Amino acid sequence: MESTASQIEEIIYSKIRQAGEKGIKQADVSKILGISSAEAARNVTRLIRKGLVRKEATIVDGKKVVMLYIANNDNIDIIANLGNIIDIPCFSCKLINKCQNGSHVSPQSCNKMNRWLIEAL
Amino acid sequence: MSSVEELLIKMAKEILGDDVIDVLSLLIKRREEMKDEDIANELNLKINDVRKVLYMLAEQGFVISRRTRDKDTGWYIYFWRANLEQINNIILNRKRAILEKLKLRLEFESSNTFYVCNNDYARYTFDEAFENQFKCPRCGSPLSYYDSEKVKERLRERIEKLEEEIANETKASSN
Repeated sequence: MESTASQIEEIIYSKIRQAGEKGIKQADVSKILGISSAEAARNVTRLIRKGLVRKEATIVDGKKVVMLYIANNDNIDIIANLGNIIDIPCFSCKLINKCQNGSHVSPQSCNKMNRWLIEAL
Repeated sequence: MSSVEELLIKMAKEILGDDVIDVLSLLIKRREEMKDEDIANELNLKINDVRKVLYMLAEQGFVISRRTRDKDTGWYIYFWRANLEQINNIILNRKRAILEKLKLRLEFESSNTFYVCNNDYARYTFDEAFENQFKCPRCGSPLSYYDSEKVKERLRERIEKLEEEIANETKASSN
């Protein structure tokens, strides 16, 4: 039976995970799975977009080799800060997605917002 | 635990409460995808409770799932993981949602005249006050005019700050 795209993605992901810190060559992925390099690249791109995998180009014996590794989250930069929103009651409100004009919960009638606005005056 | 992991847990705790922290912390600790039943076994919780928590976390973007079909049963299997790499977008989306609410509130404050009860501090729009003959519907005290200029000023300040922050942070995160 032919494998679906998500099954191929899953197998590629498990191969990369098995390789651990050493990583695995992208070229080897297509060889192991018996798929074309284009198909392997498409699946790898999808995994990268999902944040599961990262790729790194290195030079081995004078040749450029693309290595694949499991994504590590230690290097993420926190750009957005919470400083200016943490005291606004909407920040911790579970109903924020339901809060709108004419709805049962609305910014006009919200008691938490009333309190927040009046408290600072 | 890295600063990104701490921030994700802090946000989840603020927004969804303490009940979601065990599941989220486990997913962060494992650094890999987990099935809901594995999470339930690991934490000694009912699978339904784990699913409920996972859906709550997913609604806010703190976790994401991948779906595959079980070859034997034909049922879908969901693999869950912490959405750490999207932390900036999670915060930015929250900021955009808050900004929208503040703008709606400012619009409301700007397009209405308010009257307040000096006894219980309840606030009414002109229409509400008129309907009640400018008497508090709760205690019957006369309503007096309420100047909302300071409230509007506070809202304008926050909106301006938030708009600036969102623009800068969106630009920085797309670089």
